Amino acid sequence: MEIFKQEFMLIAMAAGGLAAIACCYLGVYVLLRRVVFVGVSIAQVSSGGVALGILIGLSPVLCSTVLTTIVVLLVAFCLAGRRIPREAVLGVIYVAGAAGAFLFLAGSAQAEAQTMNILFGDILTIEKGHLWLALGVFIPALLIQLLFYKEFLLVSFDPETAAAMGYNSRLWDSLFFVSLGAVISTAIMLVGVLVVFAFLVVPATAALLLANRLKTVLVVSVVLGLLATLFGFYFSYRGNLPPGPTISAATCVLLLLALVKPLIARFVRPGKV
Amino acid sequence: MTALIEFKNVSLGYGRLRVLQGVDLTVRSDERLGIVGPNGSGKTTLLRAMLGSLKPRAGEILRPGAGRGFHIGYVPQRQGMDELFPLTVHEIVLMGRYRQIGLLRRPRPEDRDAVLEALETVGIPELAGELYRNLSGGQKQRCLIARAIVGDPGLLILDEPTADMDVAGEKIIMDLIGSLHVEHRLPIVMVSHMLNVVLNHVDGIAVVREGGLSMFTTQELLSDGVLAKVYGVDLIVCEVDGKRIVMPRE
Repeated sequence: MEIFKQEFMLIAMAAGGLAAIACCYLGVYVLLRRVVFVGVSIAQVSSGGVALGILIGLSPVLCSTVLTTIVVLLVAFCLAGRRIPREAVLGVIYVAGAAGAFLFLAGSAQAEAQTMNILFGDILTIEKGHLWLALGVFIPALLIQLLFYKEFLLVSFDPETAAAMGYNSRLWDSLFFVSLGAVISTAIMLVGVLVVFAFLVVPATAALLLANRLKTVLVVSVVLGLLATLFGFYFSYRGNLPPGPTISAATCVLLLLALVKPLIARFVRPGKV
Repeated sequence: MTALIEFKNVSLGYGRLRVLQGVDLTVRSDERLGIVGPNGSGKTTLLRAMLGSLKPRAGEILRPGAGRGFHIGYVPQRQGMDELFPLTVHEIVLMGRYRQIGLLRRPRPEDRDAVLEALETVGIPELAGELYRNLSGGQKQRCLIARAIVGDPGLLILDEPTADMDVAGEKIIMDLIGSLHVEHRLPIVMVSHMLNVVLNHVDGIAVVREGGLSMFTTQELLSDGVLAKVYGVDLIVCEVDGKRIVMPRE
């Protein structure tokens, strides 16, 4: 197929695939921990960091990572607050991130183009160097998740018992949110806010509908993210559509199929479901 | 018998909020202790301090009888478990072995054997592969008890072990806790806001109220005048088939 013969397409697909693997794996925990809005807020702050970098002429990656890490630590330590609801902290972070992104870009000469890039990504113009950067962030983040699978599972599922067993829940939470922040801010550079948020939420939702074991859910979520990337690029190429929104739409189509699956099963095997 | 945990004039709270003050309490190695009190009185705060997850603002919490390797098996309120997680009974009970397994290590065959043994002790070995969220309330509670005992603890602490259970479920869980104390020589601390739940299953009762804690043997608490003084209402103690029940006097 012609789509696989073009180098820029292969690089873009590799970037999309890497973002899908990292975001869809962490997305399962984002859903199970019921912190979907954390993902949105971090993504928004990250886009604010990119915009700040563009405005002041520093590396957007660096600005985004620093800003995201600060916010992520703030989130990790405010989540257990007794006086302020978690949602309020996240709401403030979202507003600050979104307002910052637009205001910083308003001061930039190419504001309109940059806004579109941050929202939908400029995936087709990715260079090979971006892939190495992504690998440098995603591999350690996922390695931490895999190596400390037990600890992240216990602290996510039952923080009270984890604390009683001597685990420092805040430390593990911070490690989780820092990994999440690093993955989100790097993925936004590659594919934009919309696709990152789609990868964080939609494949994990479909995977929870399709699988009944946590390890299977993690694998299914990643596979669905990769399929959405592949289909998204294919239909974007065939239909001359923007790749970011097409990939996001593909995740939603896969979710719809996952929702329809029990209905099909009921139709095929009446009385057994 | 050895004192496992000793509170000496302990004050507990969060930030500027004082919850309990002047707490003196000893948990012994042969004991079944009940902690009762109304909702919001500070039972959970006391429990967190026992577990070591809340530091005292004043006073000392000692563990004189706790040797090397001593740890507490904890059974939280099952209503706090998030059933969104697609976890099997085996996976949840295995969590109780994570300390023994250690960081960066995978569960060993002996950990899996310990899980099956714990499930047999609580009477649900056939449910090892079932999803936790598909269990009944009593089965979930037994799963959480199995997780607490799978690591071979020196003390078992249970928070509201029979909350939202029917009479039959309550009896099964209380009998199981009793057998863990007798057959496995496991000291027990039970926290409940229902005096009748713990009354017939403990040796001593700590009543948490009005920012403090009072210790009683069950006999002392049920003696004339003490109950009324502690709870502030006129109560009577009835005995049915050797079991004592506390109820308001009409």
